[in-house]
Order: sequence, then C-alpha cells, then structure tokens
Amino acid sequence: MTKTPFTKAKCRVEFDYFLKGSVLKGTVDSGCTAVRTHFDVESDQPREKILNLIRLAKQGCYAEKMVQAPVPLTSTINLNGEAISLEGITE
Amino acid sequence: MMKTPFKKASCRVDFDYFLKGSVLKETVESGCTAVRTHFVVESDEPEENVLALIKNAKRGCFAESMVTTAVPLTSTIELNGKAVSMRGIAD
Amino acid sequence: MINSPNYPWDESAVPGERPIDKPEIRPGGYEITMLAEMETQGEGQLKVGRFRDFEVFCDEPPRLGGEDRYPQPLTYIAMGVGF
Repeated sequence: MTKTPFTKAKCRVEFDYFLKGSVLKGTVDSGCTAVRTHFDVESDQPREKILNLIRLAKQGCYAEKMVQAPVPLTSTINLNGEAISLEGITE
Repeated sequence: MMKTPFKKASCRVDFDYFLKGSVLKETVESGCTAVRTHFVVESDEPEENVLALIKNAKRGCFAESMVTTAVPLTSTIELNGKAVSMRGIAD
Repeated sequence: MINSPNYPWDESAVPGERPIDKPEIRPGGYEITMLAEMETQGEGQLKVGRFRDFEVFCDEPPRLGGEDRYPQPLTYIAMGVGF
C-alpha cells in the first residue's frame, strides 16, 4: 500500500521457551518467556519512507500481536465421538 | 512419556483476527481476539488414561501457552547495514 | 544451518533411552531458545523461512499481491497450535 520498494528484507526470530513440572503428578507447565526479532532491510528509498513502512508492517503484524497480547483460547475435545469435559482445559 | 496409544488424533484451530486503522494516518492496528481449538481423539485405552494424556499434552503445548499469555517482544532493526532506533517499535 | 541455542542435543536418541521413553521430564525441565530466519524472495509476497536444515515457504493470495502458492504466515501459527 505504501509502494516502497526494497532490495532485501530479512528477519531473525528467537523464542525463549521452557518445559517443566511432572508428567506423573500432572503438573506439566510450558511457555515462552521472551521473543526477540531482528529485522534487516536493504533499500535505495529515502530512510524516512522505509522506516514508515517498517512501522506499519510491525503494527499490522498479527503474529507479533499474538505474541505480545494474551488471547483467550477455548478448547473442546471429542473422545471416540463423544464430547468430553476436562477440568482446567475445556469449558 | 505416557504410554497411551491412540488410533487417531486431529485438531481444528480457528483464529479470529482483525486489521484496522489507516496506512496514510499511520494508525494501522492488528491483533487476534480469540482462538478456538477442537481436538478429536480415537483410542481403545481407558478414558481416564487418554484424558490424562490430553491434559499433559495441552499443558505442555508451547504454542497454546504463547497464545494465552503475554510474551515480551523486543525488536531491533537494521537499515542498509546500520542499526535504527524507532520509537515504540525498536530499541 | 540455523541452530537453536541451548537445544539439548546431548540427550539420547536411542529407543528406550530417549527422554520420550522416560516416565518423567528431566529434573529442572528445559529452557531452550528457538531460532528461525525468514527472508523475502523477489518482488511478490513469497518468503522463505529457515530452521536448522529445513525450509518452508509462505505466500499471500492474489488480493494481497501474492500468487497463493503457499499458506499465509498466520496459518503456520494456527498449525503450530494444532501440531
């Protein structure tokens, strides 16, 4: 939409994640504690124009927003064709 | 880790997401407002074994944890080989 | 090859001795950093993602300037939740 051509755009993404707790005690816990992105752009366009493009792209990035904001997740489960309820997992 | 065989497991995932605002006014905004998962399992194992397996699998799922919790995201940007600082976007 | 820092490569892959064969997560659990890289491919919306020796691609439908040759980026997150 901004018609700002660039020669190259590259992104490196790092996730720090963990898995802990006990399978036997049913206390397994997992999650992601930090995400780092490094964006590398090459372009002959005016710097201001490119920075504006990057800002808009980041503001419009669903994936980054999903990482940063907690999103309500609801789960349903069918076991052998029958809906089941699982405490702490399904509603 | 849990020896609970199953014949089939499938999962359907729905995301509700949005994009709004203005490119010209630089107020682009995006995000995900809800995620729904529907898990279907077929197994000859006793129901409580399968449910314990599902519970551990859900609690150990990094992707679900990332969706449901807010994870700090830091960004760095390089333009034509030089680090760029962008207020509200990159340090 | 793009490797993830802190990945527990030292753990056994021999059946019967693998972490997955044990009844419990190892003491202290795991803290791993996942590292992946993505890069544009030409002028369309085609992008390549690299992780270890794997490559995956994403694209966009024609209404967003792509050729619809691969799933959209967010699709991979949805699949990640299901996987």
